[in-house]
Amino acid sequence: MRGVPERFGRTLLLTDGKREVPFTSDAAGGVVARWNLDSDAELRVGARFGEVLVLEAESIPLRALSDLAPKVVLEGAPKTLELAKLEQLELRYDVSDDHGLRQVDLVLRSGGREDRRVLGKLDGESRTERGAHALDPRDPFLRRMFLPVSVTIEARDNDVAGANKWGKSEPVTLLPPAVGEPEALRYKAIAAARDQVTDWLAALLEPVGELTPEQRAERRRTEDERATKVSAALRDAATNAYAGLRVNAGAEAFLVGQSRALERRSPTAAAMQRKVEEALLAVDAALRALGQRDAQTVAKRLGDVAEEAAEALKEARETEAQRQRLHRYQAAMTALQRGAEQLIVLDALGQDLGSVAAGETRRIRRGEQAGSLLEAELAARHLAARLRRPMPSFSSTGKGGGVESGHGGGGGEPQGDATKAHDRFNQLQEEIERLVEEHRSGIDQVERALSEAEDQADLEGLRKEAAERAAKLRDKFEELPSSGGSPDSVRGTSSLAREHGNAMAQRLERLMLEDGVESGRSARSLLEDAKKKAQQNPGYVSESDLDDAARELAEQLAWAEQALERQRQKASDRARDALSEMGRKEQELARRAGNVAGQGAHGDASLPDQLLDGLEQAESVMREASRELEAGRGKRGLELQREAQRLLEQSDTGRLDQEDDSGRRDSERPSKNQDGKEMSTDADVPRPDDRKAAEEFRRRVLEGLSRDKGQRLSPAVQRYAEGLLQ
Amino acid sequence: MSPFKRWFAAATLLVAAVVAGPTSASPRSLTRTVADAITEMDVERARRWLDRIDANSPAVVFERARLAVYLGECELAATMLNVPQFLDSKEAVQLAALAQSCARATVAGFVVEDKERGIWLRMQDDSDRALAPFIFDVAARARDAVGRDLGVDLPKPLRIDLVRDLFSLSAVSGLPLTAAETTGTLAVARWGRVIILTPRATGLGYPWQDTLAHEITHLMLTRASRDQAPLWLQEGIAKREETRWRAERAFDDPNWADVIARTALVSGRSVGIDKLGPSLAMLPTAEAASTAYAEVTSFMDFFLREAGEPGFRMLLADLRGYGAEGGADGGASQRDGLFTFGVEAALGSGPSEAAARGRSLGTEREREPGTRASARRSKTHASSCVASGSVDLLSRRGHAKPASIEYDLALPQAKEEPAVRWRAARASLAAGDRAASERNLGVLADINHPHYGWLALTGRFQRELGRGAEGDADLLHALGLNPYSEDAACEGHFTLGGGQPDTLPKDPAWRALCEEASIAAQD
Repeated sequence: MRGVPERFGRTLLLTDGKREVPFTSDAAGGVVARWNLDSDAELRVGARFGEVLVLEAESIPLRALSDLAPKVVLEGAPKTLELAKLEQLELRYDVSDDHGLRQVDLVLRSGGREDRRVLGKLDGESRTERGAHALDPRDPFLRRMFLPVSVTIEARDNDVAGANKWGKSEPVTLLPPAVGEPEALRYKAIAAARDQVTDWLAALLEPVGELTPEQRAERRRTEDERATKVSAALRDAATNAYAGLRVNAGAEAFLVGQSRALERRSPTAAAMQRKVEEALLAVDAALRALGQRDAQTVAKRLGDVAEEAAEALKEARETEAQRQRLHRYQAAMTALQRGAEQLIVLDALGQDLGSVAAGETRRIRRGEQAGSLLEAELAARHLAARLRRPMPSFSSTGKGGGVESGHGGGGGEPQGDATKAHDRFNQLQEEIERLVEEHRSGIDQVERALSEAEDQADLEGLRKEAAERAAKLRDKFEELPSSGGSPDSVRGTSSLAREHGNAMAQRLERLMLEDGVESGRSARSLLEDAKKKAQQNPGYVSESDLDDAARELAEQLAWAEQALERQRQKASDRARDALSEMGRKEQELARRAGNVAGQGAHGDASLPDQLLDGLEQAESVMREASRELEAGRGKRGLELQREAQRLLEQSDTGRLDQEDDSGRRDSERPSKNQDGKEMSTDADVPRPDDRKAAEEFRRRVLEGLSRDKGQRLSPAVQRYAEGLLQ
Repeated sequence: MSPFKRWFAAATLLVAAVVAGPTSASPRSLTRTVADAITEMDVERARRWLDRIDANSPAVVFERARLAVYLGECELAATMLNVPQFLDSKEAVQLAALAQSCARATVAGFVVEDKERGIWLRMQDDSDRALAPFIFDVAARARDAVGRDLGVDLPKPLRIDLVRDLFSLSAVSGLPLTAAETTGTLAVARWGRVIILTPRATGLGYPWQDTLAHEITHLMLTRASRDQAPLWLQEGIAKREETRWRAERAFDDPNWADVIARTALVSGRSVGIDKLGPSLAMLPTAEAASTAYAEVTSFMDFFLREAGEPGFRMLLADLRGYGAEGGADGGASQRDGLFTFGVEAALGSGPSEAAARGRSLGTEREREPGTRASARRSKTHASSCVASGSVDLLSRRGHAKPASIEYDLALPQAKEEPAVRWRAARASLAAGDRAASERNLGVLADINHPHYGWLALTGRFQRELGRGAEGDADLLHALGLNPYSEDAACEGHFTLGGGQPDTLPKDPAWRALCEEASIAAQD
């Protein structure tokens, strides 16, 4: 409160009759007092003379309005969703406050875990805020959770005097699948497909008597139908998603390859029996390997659930909030029981560990039912530690396990895999991996050879001429509009032509003739388009400017093409010996690719058609590249090598037993651009501390950007990348 | 308590201590008396002494905690030892760690007791309760038989902890997990209890009955020698006694230890009884453990032949009385000499002759006709595995006829393999060809080692042919190898492709085990 005293030298104050706040000088001839209003009050100004207080007659009544917590409305909440069926969770929210907002958070809670993420920090003045956030079901926090996850939006107001007030929306509750449920679904699906193969083999082994030609034909037809059906079942099992989880690329390729082998016709009944039996053993071995790996992964996650139960019990014993903690414990126990049921499905190890988990869960319950939360907690901790060490209940490094007593035990069971198909598949994949690596190295060598040959050329004269021509080109394109409306308009097309023309000029100056020619060709096409549009819609762009630019462009483009050809020829001549040697190496790599394709097509480790096609195409392209390189046509050879490399890399699915911890999810397919061309989005980004890898990564990104010869990247981006590489 | 009463109690204690034996009445010696009573598993005596001692010194509390561990009350022991006064005592810290890990693995266990025979059984997994009657039977018979052999009376109840996996075995016994895994330890006799792995843990079972008898023997030797018996004596006698509680079975080979010890000595793979370390379970490999067992067993056989039963009992008494003063190693030089002499004798005269010369501790047993010395495993084993890979899948899907055709083809390559014979016989039987099934199964002379499935089906056939006694023996043998196999538990009856066998055992205990095994088979 501010005022101007009528008389100076008085002790003025502000009071509600209980509390007094003195006025102080504001250094401008007035006085000021600050009153914190906690509740309704009636203030008066007074002057104090020792014990005597003289109050002004007029009072100032004040009514306190309490600061409310922000109000948060989350669209659609409250609601419950199944996480496994979710593609993306869109959270749209409206936040308001009576004074001002300071912060908006997204809060995820599950059991005793909480993850709080700041969505926005505000200035404290804004009273309303509206926003949206997309939550991915593959979010690391969500993927780790086994209890229902409550998702809320929470907002804090600007109250600095008291404690910050948080407003909270109604929750969206996400129900995660049971621990191991996706893995169990996947295992069951592949096992069901394997059983179909088993049934087929049983039918083939059933003795049949003499058949008439008609009966033989009928049997043949039935077998063909069965082959199609069983093969499709196996392929579907390998390629389907299970609550968002897919088979890893190596295993998928292996199973689809076996499906292809089953579809092949066999010349005799014996050959067919052999083929089906081999496929059965191969699928069974792959299934067991998958089950073993999944059992270990799921057991570890189930160990976390047991730990959660133990922690809840500990807190229930030690804190006052026993009811909430016991509720948390019960939720964890439900998750534990459901998870144990899933774990039992996962082959021998899963059956063993799942049986342990089920038995130990009953022990925890016995402790709880006996009224001892401590006993239940101790049992839960034992189970957590056990599951985090997902080894078989009994194992020995000795052959078949050492038996302390009773020599000559109950062993004697056949052990080991009855097929080597998965080993051979892994060998083929390793050979493909080696091919990819060696071929990549071959490309590097060709690039280096060509680059060195180009570096040896006397470019000074060429550079000077190119600069002069670039300047002329720029002059003519300067007359075109620098920006336009829509890309379909005359101005838009002209502007784009100017962009490409300038790109060509810049590349000529840098003696990047190949890229310059490409920019020039794009500019030429755009100028033609702009000319047509200008004739249909006169007045927007000068036709004569377009003609001038086109004439100049034609001249410089022709010069650049000739210069490029001469330069290539010279470089190839200089690198001829090296290229010839590399052509021979390429030939050898092509032969190896052909070998892999042959083994994948006919051996028991059958590869899928898609992979075989890729390998065969790669072999063909590599042979062509080899011919080009041996003929000294380095640039063309290099292009073909790159094409072959792409095909080889597509065939490199990885080993059958590779980790799929990240679990290729349904939505983790390669992304496609507008033209439907796939663009890889899964490059490994090296850690910052790995300098060499980081440098290599940067080089690959930049080269990838600069070399992209498709129409995916705009000329501006290309020039940006080129600038970076200079 | 009044001063007079306290004085009277102390005086009584002193008199009792003096009367009880050579211990003096000092607190230290009283604690020693309690410790000895616990070590000898005489928990009632230990409890009586502890009730009389009106002191809470660390030594007394430590013994109370140790007694709790012996009684299987690990949680109580952990609580007692969880006090700062024990932080400086290495022994107490170790016991506290054991008590904690043991408590986690055993709390809320499923306890059943056969009061009449004095057996207390705690199961970590209550699914094992169907096995309890069989464990009681074996434990009681083994305890009585071994006790008679050794002249030792084990206090009742005998405590057994049946644990679910090696992880829990390690937690309850204190044996390092890596050591247990390296040697494939199945059971441990420690802390006055037998801690044994459930047969369901090993997938294909293991000879759990003999293992149980082996561990009970350890407890008896510990009691008789006040835990002063050296390792070679412990293991040699336990190995020897593990089969003596029961009638002889097919493939029991009295000479096995001499044969293996001799081979090891000749090939330079001998472990040597002076290099056993703290436990056979901590030897570097399962092969080393196997060789060591053979060597100590061979040696003890020799010792008993040379010294006789009275000599052995004197040795135990000697160890018990003078253990602390060097009794455990008192016979070291004699031991080494005896061992060398024994092995040389075995090398010189051959195991069979050496065995024929030997005198037996306890009663001589009849050998069943048809019992053969263990033979080498078939070299065609690997090929039969390959042959049966897909056939097992056919069997599991219930395709008995095609499976039997395939097994018939595989059988000539693995004629001595009981696992293959059993599979072939099952498939034939399921396909409705009883004669082919019996032919495929063969007789004892056709196989080279015992197999639960083979024995179970043979036992069933024997019974069906009216040879009940032989059939019962085979079925018991099968049960002793893998009680959770459907074939063994269901008295030779089985299912192909799921479900429960049509014929269930009449005996309630066998029936319950059969039902449990059928559930396990379907998982």
